[in-house]
Amino acid sequence: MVATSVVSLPPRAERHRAVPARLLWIELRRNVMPWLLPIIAVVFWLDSYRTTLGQMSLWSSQTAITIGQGHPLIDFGPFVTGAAAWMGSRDGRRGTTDLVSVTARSRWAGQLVTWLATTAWALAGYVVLVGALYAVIAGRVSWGGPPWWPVIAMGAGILLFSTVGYVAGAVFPGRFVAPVAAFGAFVLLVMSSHAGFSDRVGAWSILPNSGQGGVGFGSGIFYPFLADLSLARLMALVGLSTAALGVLGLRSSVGGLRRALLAASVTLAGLAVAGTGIGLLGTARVEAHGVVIPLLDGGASDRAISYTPVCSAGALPVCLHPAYRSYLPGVAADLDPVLSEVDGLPGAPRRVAQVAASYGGPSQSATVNVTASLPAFDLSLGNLDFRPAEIAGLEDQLRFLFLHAFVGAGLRGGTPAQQSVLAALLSRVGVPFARQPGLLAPSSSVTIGGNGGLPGPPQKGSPIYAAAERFASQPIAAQRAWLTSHLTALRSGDLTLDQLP
Amino acid sequence: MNIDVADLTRRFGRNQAVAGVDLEAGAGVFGLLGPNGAGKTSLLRMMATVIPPTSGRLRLLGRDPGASDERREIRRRLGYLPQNLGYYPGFTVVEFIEYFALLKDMPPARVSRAVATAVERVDLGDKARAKLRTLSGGMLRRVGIAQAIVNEPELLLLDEPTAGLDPEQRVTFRELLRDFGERATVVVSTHLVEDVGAACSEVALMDRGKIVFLGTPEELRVQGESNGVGDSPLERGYSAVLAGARS
Repeated sequence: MVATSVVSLPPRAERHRAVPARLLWIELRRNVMPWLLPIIAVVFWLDSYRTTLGQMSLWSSQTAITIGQGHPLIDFGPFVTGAAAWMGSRDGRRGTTDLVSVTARSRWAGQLVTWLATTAWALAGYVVLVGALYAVIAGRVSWGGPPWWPVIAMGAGILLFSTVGYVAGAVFPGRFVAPVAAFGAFVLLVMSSHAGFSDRVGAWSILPNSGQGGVGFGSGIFYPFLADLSLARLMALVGLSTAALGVLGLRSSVGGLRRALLAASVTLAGLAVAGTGIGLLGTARVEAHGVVIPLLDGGASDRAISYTPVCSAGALPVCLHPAYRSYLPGVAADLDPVLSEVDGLPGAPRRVAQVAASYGGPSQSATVNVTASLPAFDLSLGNLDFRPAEIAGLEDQLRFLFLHAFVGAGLRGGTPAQQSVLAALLSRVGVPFARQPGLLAPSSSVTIGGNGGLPGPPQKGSPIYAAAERFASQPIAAQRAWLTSHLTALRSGDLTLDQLP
Repeated sequence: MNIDVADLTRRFGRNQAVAGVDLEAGAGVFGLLGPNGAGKTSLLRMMATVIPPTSGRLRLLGRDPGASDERREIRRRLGYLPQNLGYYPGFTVVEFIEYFALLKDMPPARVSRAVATAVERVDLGDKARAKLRTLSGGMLRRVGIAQAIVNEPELLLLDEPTAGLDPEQRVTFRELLRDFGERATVVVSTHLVEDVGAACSEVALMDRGKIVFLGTPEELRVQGESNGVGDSPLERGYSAVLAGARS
């Protein structure tokens, strides 16, 4: 027998300092979450990592899909929820509820330590994997910096999944709660992803895997990464997590009025923050530079990032953002024939200048678009999902888009006269009639923006085709003379096929 | 009195588990005997502040467990071993005991020493770093006892503490109980009357939610001298009291 004496207790404040840290250390050591991290890492590599590296070497392109569409959250969410539910149900499963409920430290406090350890592992895994991903991206890009707010908001998403899983486990302890919670999280994420593609600012946008997360292809290049959506999400997700922890406290505070009041206050505070975040999400609108929430924006969406474009040599230079410098020779070579063709004509552009792809417009999902915006033609390159050397494969499409803008055809496809002149000019710049139908065919590697409503090139034997052949057969001098005198009328859509030479 | 109970009842739906118990206990080892379903565990759980009484008065260590601040002070001075000990299989012996020492709000600086002492007291020194999943039932019971005594409780409540212990460990455990009984109130609920005879200074026998006998083990022995059934004097006293209460 060892003789001992009754322990005399030091002041309460002194006792409270070191205990949580030691408890946390034990919970960290004996947590189930780290066992799942290798599996999560494999899923992350298969999904987020490989998706990212398949994109163009720009921060916006590398992160628009992976981070913007919340792939890491999809990779982490179900596993984190299941593991947290397993930890939350531990006392119920292991029959230790009586033991832990009669300790001086409140049951809620003990649960919070377990939750904290579980969540800390999940967030640590997230930080390591996303950090590694960002490190790899940083080694590949030469312009700008990464978007941080979407990453933070997604961390809050993992916090929410961990918290809800833990609370579910504590409320419904049992061995099936973990797989059920994990499956529930998976279904929720799938529904959120699916809904987000059609409704970027609706109710589903609360989860960071919904929509584009405010990361446009021009973000961080032409304009800053907008934090609005991420900030509102952060508020909503942290608020909901806090409220869930408050509910946990309410449940384990039976018989203690003061603790119940504290838990109720935490719940209400969490709901208030979450409600504010959700309310802000309700005011979100899709604008050219991303999702804007007026109360959070502060004009950030209108502040362009200054840069000096890089331009090709020539009478009509092609100017790109320096981030796209490696694409310049290919784009200039592709456009050179059409630029030579229109050079000197009234209404011809003085240069072709790259502009940002519009976040909410059709070019967000497109690769390339050209808009006549004299004296320059605007060229948005969007998300080119191929290497600079492969830009040559775009020559027909680029020439088509350029001339399509030149004749004023617009997004509606143009009048028969415009279509005829477009087809004729294309045939003169190296895209013969026979190859033109392929321009608008769906391609697996290249998507041309703004052509969704186009009727397609003229069919052989049609009046438009005949007019195009007739125009193309004219001598070059006659074509240029006709264009010089009729281009304005052609662009305005006033000419008919009969008025073509 | 460390335990002051008057007309204590506890109902679970229509079942009255404890039906008007009066009990007072100071320092010493107090045995709680009775058949299955007598209400021993329910009484012990009320004294452990796991469940509140349905009615009656319950004061522990001079405090009211119904008041949250006082309940916290009681729990800080309480050791409890439930009938069915749950445990975390992935924890080591030391971690499990330390975990509960910390939850009991022990001063962190004293936890390591207290844990080591508790482990030695239940003779698990050589298994201190073993995972709980690798231990036998008897060893787990000793781990449970260790977590109950780690904070040097003033009120120690043990529900079937000797279940699964081998005879040698049982003897050691009784010695431990006597040691604790010198400065604290120890309540031992058990089926094994020899535990009561060897370690308890007072014993209560419960049947159908009531205390039907309260006295010393010697007085219980005397009850069975005339008409008791059993192999030992205490068993005969036990059966005689129960027969009398049911007649």
